[in-house]
Formats: sequence, structure tokens, C-alpha cells
Amino acid sequence: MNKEWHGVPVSPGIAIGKLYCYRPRKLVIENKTIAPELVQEELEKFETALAACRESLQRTRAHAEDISGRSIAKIFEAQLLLLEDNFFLDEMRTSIKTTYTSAETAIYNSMHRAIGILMQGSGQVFRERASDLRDLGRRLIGYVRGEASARLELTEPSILAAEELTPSELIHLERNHLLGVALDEGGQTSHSAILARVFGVPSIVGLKSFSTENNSGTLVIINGNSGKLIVEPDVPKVQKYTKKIQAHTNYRQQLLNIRDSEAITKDGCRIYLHANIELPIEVKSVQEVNADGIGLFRTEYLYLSQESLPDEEEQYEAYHTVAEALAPKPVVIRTFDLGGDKVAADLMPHREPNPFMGWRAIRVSLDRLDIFRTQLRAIARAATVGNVEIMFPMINGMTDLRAAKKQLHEACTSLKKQGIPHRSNLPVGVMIEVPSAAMLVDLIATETDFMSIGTNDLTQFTLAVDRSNPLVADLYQPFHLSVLRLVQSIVQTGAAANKKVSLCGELGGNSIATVLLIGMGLRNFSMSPLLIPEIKSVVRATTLEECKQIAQDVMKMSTYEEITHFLKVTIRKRFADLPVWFGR
Amino acid sequence: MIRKEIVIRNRNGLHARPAAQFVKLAAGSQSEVWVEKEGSRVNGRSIMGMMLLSAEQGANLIIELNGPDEEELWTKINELVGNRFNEE
Repeated sequence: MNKEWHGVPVSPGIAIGKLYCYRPRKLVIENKTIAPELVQEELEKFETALAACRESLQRTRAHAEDISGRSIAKIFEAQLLLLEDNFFLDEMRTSIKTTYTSAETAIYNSMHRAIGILMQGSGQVFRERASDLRDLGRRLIGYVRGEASARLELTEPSILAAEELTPSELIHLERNHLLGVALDEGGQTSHSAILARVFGVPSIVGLKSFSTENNSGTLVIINGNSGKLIVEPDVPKVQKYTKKIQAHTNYRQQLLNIRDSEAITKDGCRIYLHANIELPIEVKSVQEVNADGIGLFRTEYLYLSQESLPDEEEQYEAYHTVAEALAPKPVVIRTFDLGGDKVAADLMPHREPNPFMGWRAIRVSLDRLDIFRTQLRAIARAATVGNVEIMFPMINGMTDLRAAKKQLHEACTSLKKQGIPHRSNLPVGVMIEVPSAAMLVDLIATETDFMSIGTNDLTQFTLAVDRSNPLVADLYQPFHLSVLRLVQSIVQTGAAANKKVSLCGELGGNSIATVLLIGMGLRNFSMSPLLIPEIKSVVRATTLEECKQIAQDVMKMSTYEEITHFLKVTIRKRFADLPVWFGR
Repeated sequence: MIRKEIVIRNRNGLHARPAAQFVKLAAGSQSEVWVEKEGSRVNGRSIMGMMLLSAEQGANLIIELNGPDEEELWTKINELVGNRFNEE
């Protein structure tokens, strides 16, 4: 009862359901050789299987493209290329012809040899390719045997457990039957983890021997927020989690009821609520909550989710898709913020002692102009549709701002020379997340169109607290008066210069801070799309007058404890009838 | 015949996608294309062959071209490798 397993959470949400343990049968090759007179027949069998496998892969790729765009579909492209590699295939054909091996043995041997060689390599990418090959070999042998239909299927709603899952297995599952995914292997950026996030089902990876030590039909609770799995939960546990899921559903429903209402205070002050996204597919969630636009499109995901840097076309396509879907609402595309906690191991082979203050974001871009120019060109091209704005991260003064703008200008010049359609006058903004930039807002405002406050970094830099360090993590205090004063000064200086100021850190989606921030003068917020209905309900329940009063009161307090206590108690009490306190 | 050395510079080495680009170049030419790494020799038109070289970042490859358009092909290959297969 209540046995717990812990892994790495890769896709959020909670589900209760029966386990389905997928243990693909071990591949046993029985028919090793054939009679010499059957060679022609065996070769035909091989070619037929090859054609069928190719066709099915093409369909899988198209299906993947439909539901999740080109980046996922690319996973299947390498497999297709392999099925067209006649040098590789001839090895199998020759083996059938000259040594009378059966088609399945020929496939098995060739694949096995190739996998062996790839597994010797030290690069992660090569080892992942080996797992793609294993998948391909199995499929091909399945076709030779005429067992192609025997693929993974869920006949009832289940939580799927397996040692590992190939993207092709996952992508064909009946979505309504997939409650959760629990894998023994894999990591945050494995193909299956990415797919699970796209599907929006709770998922945990790195569970070691979970799938072999448990059985199909067992009741489990999967918590994709914490990475915890509870096997055979007792009645109180089930009740507790059922309530959680139920409460969450109710709460979503209540909040969605105000979807089409504007975020406007009772006395008529319009507040703009924008969404933060990482993936083009999240546009759906943005539209679901009817956000006023996208205030932060984090592009580093495009990089982290695949083995290589997306080229200009791929990036253009991603940006274009989002811009077009949101038009005429604004979409702020932030250039790569690689480094810090978003480590691309291959780009940054050196472990930095202090990565948050190290080689990251605009610093990487300005050192790797090849990467930066490609991205700028893609953004300028995508800006021909919709309402695209560009934003630079980690700017710390006028020098890097001007250097970044110069690159944008040059990218546009080169596009112009080549006669490629683009927009050269797209609005340019910067993240204000380094204290030095916060102190130069008046200057920055003269050379940009807008600013967005990144409260996460601003807090840790202002307080000199690395929040990923457990020894000081409790000193990470976004309601520290110093941080609030900085935010207020940024908002006011921006307003005085008549430039739009937005806030896109976690503070923006924290409902106890909403009235305070409005009172300080903030009018533009950007947050996870899931939080927009909640913040909107707070906006609609207050008045500008009240917000100003609260800001005045808070800014007179002196300690973090005092401010937090006030917000947690007074604000909660004031808005107690709103459905915003779920889960807090 | 051209026989020259190149160094793989892209961070993930010659994995599936760069290998595919190389193979496409080779397939579009009339010359024979051979690629060698530490004694292993594969046909430059085979994606599996290229992948199995497991050429990681920093690997030295010997490219051997033989045919009417070998000069042209060498220029193209050099460009592709020099541009890190347009990946970075």
C-alpha cells in the first residue's frame, strides 16, 4: 500500500488510474536460414516489408507534423533516410542472396552490428540514434513477419509504464486513453518527454526499475508536478488526490467562465494580460484563455529540445506560426537565453562556477554571431505577418543593447540585399533583469520601444542570492522592499518616457501581487497562460483606487516578512470569494 | 583524384542530420565519394555508413573524391563542413 516511487517530472498534472506495463516481447529470431530455392521469394518479402515500413513511417511523420509541428516530425526523418540507404540495405540483400539467411536474420544482424558500433561512441546523440535504430529494426522485422499491426495500444484509460518508449509508439496512442506516462529511462529532453508535454499528460521519467517491478492493472497515482508515483494507494490517498483533481477541474471551469471578459478594473482601468510560452503548440492554451497577446516567447526551447540548432527556416516557421495564429495581437519573441539554468551542454562544455552571472543570453549571442544572426533573420522574416516584437535578454547597459541592435540592423540589411521579404522596423525591447539595466531605464527607453521586467533574475541579482543554492534559497525574496522599489522605479521611469513596461517574471502570475503591481503603475503583465484567468478575476474585482492605496501602504513597510504577511493575509481576505487560491 | 583531410566542428558530430546533408551532396555528384576515419572507409553516399563512423566533434576525416566534378564537389563539401553543417 502507498508504495512511493520517485523520478524526474517532465510534464505536469495529476492522474489516478490503472497501470499498463508495456513490455515488448524480446525479439527472438527463429528462422535463421532458408532453402536456396527460396531466395527470390525471401528477397521479395524483404522488399515488400521495406516498402510497407517506408509508407508507414511517412504516415507517422505526417501525423506527427499535424499534431505537433515539424520539430517532432524530424525525429522520423532520420529513420526514413535509413530506409532509403541502398548501401546499407544491399548488405542485407547480399546476405539473403549469398548466405541464404532469412530476411529477418539479415535485418537483425545488420542492425545489431550498427547499434553496437553506435553504442561505443561517447556522444549522447549517437546513443539516442542507436535507440532509433533499434526501433526501426523491430518495425522492419515486424513487417517481414506480417505482424505490423501488433503495436502498442491502450484499450482503456491507463497510465502507461515502460522501460522506454519510442516517439513512434507514443505518437499513435489513443490520446483519450493516455492518462500518464512513467518511464524507467529518459531525461527532460528525450523525445518521449517532449511528446508527453505536447500531449499535456502528466509524465515522469528516470524511474529505474518501475515498469519491471509493477504489473498491469495496479492502481497508481501519478503526480507529474512532483515526480511522485504512488502504487496501490489506500482509500484516503485516493480520496485526497481525487479531490485535488476535482478541485482543479472546477477551478479551471470557473475561471474559464470569464474568458471573454476584458481584464479591466471596476473603475475602468484596462490591464493587459499576456502569455509566456515556449512552444508554438502552446498557442492553443493562449487562445483558450483569450490572452491579450504573447509577452514572452522563449526561443531557447527550440534549441534545447533537439540535437542541433534549428536553422533559419525552422525558426522562421516556428515564429511565423505563432505570429500568424495570434494576429493582430502582439507576440514578443525573446532571443535565445541559453546558459544559466538552461544549459545546452554541447554548446557550453565548461561548467561555470556561477552560471547565472556567466556566459549566457545576449552574451552568448554577441559572441556567437553565427547563431544570433540566423535567429535575427528568422524573426525579421516572420515579422511580415501579425504583430511581432523582438526582445533581448540580460542587457546590462547601453553597450550590449547597441551591439544587439546593430546585429538586427545588419540582419535586415542582408535580407534586403537578398530581396527576402522581412520587416525592418519591428519594435525592439529589452528585458530588465539586471540591476544595472534597472538603473538605466531612462537611457534604455530612448533607444528601445518597450521593456519587460524579469523579476526572477532581478530578484536574485539584487539580493545576491542564487536561488538554486539550497543554503540561501530562503533568502530569495521577491517581496523584498529593494526589489519592489526597483520594480516601481522601472515602471515609473518607463511611463515618464512614454514607453510600454511589462513584467514577465513569476511575480506577474502571483495573484497576491497583482493589485500591488497595478498600484505601482504596471499595466502589462505576462505569465503562464494557465494563470491568466486567475489574475483576470483579481483585476476585475478591484479598483485602481484600491490598488494605489495598497501600493502606498506596502511601500511604507520595511521588511520582507511584513510585506509578505500583509499580502498573504490581507489580500487573501480581501479577495476571499474569488476562486484564485486553489492549491496555495 | 582528390584526397584531403577535414575536421568535424559541429558540436554533435556527424549524426543523422549532418550525415544526411553530406549524403545528399554526394548523391548529386558524378564522382566517387569515400570517407575514412581511423582506417574505416565508407561510401559517402551511405547515410548509415557515415553515421557508423561515429565522427564526433574534433574528428579528422579523410575525404577521397574521384570523378569529373571532384573539384566542384570538394568545394561544396568544404563549405558544408566549414559552416558546421549549418547547424550552429
